[in-house]
Amino acid sequence: MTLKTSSRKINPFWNMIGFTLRKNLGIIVVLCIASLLYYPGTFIVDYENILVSTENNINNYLLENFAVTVTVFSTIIAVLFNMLNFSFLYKKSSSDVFHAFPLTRVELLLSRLLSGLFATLIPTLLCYTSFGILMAFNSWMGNFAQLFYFLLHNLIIMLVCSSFSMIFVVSAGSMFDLGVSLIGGNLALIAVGWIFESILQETLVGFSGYHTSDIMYNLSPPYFCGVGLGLANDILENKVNGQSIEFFIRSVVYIAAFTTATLLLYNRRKAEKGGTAYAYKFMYLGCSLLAGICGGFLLGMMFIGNITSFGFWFFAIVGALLTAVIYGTVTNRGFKGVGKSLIMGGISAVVLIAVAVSGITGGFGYTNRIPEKEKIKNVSVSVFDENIPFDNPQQALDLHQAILEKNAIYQDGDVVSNGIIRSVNFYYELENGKTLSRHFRIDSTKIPDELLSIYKSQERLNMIKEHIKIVDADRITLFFKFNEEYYNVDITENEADEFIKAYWSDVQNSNTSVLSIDKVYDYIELNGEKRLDNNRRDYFNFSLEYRSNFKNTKQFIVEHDLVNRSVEQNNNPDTKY
Amino acid sequence: MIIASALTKKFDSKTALNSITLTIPDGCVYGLVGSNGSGKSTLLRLISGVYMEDGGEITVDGERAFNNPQIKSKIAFLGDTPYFLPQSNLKEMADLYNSMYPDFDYEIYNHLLTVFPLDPKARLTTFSKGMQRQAALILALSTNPKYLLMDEAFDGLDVVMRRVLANIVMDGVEKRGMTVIIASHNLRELENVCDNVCVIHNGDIISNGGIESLRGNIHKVQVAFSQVPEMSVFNSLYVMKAERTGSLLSLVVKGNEDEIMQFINTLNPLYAECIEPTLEEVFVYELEVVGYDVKNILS
Repeated sequence: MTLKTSSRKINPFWNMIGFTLRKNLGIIVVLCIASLLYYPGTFIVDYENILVSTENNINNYLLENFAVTVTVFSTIIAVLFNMLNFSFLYKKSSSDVFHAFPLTRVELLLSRLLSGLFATLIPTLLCYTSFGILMAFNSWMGNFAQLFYFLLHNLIIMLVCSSFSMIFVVSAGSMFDLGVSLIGGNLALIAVGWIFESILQETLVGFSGYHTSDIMYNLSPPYFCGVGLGLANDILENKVNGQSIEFFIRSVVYIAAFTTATLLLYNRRKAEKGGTAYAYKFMYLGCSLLAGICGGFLLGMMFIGNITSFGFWFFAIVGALLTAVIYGTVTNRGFKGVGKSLIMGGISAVVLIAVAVSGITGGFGYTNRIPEKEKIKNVSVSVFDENIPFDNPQQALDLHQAILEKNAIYQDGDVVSNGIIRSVNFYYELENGKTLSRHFRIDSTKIPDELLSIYKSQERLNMIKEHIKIVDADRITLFFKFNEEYYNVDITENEADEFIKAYWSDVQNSNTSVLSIDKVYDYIELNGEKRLDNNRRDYFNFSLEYRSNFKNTKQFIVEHDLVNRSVEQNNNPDTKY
Repeated sequence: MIIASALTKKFDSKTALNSITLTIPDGCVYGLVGSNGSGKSTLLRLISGVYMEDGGEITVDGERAFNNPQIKSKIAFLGDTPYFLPQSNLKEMADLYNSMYPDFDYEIYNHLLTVFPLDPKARLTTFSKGMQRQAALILALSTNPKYLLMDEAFDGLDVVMRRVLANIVMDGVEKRGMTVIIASHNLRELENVCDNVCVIHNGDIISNGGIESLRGNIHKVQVAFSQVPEMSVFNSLYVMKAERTGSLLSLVVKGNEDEIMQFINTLNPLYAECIEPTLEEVFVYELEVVGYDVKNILS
């Protein structure tokens, strides 16, 4: 052996990144091949079909489908790389070697994390580059601005999920428990949101499911990313709205917050926790609680489907305790922590009961809460299967107030004709940026004047016109029922205009009998399509309640000979549907 | 120099190290002895910066090793179970260590490959337990460490390799002033290698010091009498242990050898001999006196 006199200057941080990348080279190569098989592979193989689809305007979302697929896969791969690159944490011998290396915890974490991200980026960028090259020769595939935007969207979603998964990676003590907490925990979180929604729908008067998705959007990063994935449509249609911008800003905040949390947790993580179920107790407590809630609700539903019955809650409590014990047994690899598991199961049952009780008691004033008129920015009311926006919120507020004050809320067990029960949704956008929504099932006979006023309102007519984009439409069709037969016929823009006028005059002549669903004769449908730029088409479809006493509407059908025109049209091979 | 002061480490409710204080001087071979679960591996992990202390402090060259790359680059830690990256060979592992440790020396690596005849291109998972330990040892020594920490260093090595390892360790200490800390549950393994030995039991240090000084003033005396005298005759000596077999008396006596033998000879024995006890015997006598269950420690 020789005596060392001076040290080399090396950078273990970058060396670790390089080494990890080299070690993962085989996987990266396989992923790159898979990327190329997808694009341009599938494109080349399916080129003829894609062209035909594009010609027929049914393949307008080629770019979107591509981007969504790559986003989903690259996100999953990034998370898997995290699991792979940090698997050293879960074994004492490997944990000893890695933690003894001359690196700080932060350096070790970032080097492994970045190498995983680099490894994911290579095949992802390869995919986008391939698509871009094909796009350069086929302009109908989209434009480069959109492609870049999708790539940005992809990277953001990938980073949110990757950084979020790292919290689980550094908090777990074994690969098995990482899988349970990361996959099971996140699915359970979404399931719990759905469970609470189900309980509140049955117990809380006025509860609107809209808030559940809102809560899940705020609570579950994977759900948040799923919503973000849906925003890709807006990008394609160049509709980068407030929600898209908010999504991007929140994503950046999430990435920063999750990475900081990961760094703090890893810095404090005890190396000796490798091989135990979880390095931090909060993981066990959180997962146990979620498992208890899911198990309790599941057992209750399995044996007694009715949430409002006592039997349901008996089985829910048993289910919560049982699931928590099973989860604890799996986590502790035995029955040594049964006592703690029972406590967690008990807490889960208490949470379930607390949600139900809060619903029954009006959700802390939730049911009776109506926003003040001055604080309302926009309001829309969904009634008659239509969503009607109101510029002046007073009419909506009157209806909302009448429902509560005149006791028009339908209770299970009320003996009424099914035809008079209607669903009414209120959706308020407030000046402070918040929203308030309520959903009621009402007995329409108790508030006929308020409902009729909405039915005949100018806002309803405006809404109908807004949806039926007949101006400059390439094709407008009317689907209607006449003498117990169904017909479908092309009409002109002027005819469509006349039809709406005839229909609306019938509406204005209606009395409270229109409020009963029993009296609905049928629905009449207006459909249309309009060619947009870039070979894409815009479609509309709108259904209107059509009643037997709607004389003007009937007269319109007769006067324009729509029945015969429909028959002729269907007999003509060029115009046949 | 490694200094631990009031060092405490807990694993949930179990205390692995209970406020221990010790100093490990530079350039020595330091042995940590104790039964399984006594805390010796924990101490090595604390020194190498793998674990963070729960109480007290441990410093290497005046600085904490935890989260300190500069200090960690001087330390090579060889755990009780060697770890290699999946599907890797010795050459790849050497490349990794070379990229991590600034003092990694391929000359040492190549030299050690001649001492331990291993195929650097063979997958390490195909190696036997002893070969894997040799491979880990090659990697650790190639980092040219100032501090070499070895947990159950001789585990899995045959007699020849143990001798080779001992020589390499001695060589490193002599030529480069390397400090070697060896943890073992077997005191006999350390006897011929270590300058200092620290016995740990249930997280406490129960004995610590230089081997010669520990061994120096304890003597095993075997005396034969025609008529064995009463034990009270030996009251002027510090007798730690006495056993009688017929007319033969075995005494373990603490004190100056000449003074002890001079006193024994005044009793006109038929035969008297002073034997140097083994290190293990020294510990047994010392520890039994203070009431430790020695068999558990030295088993």
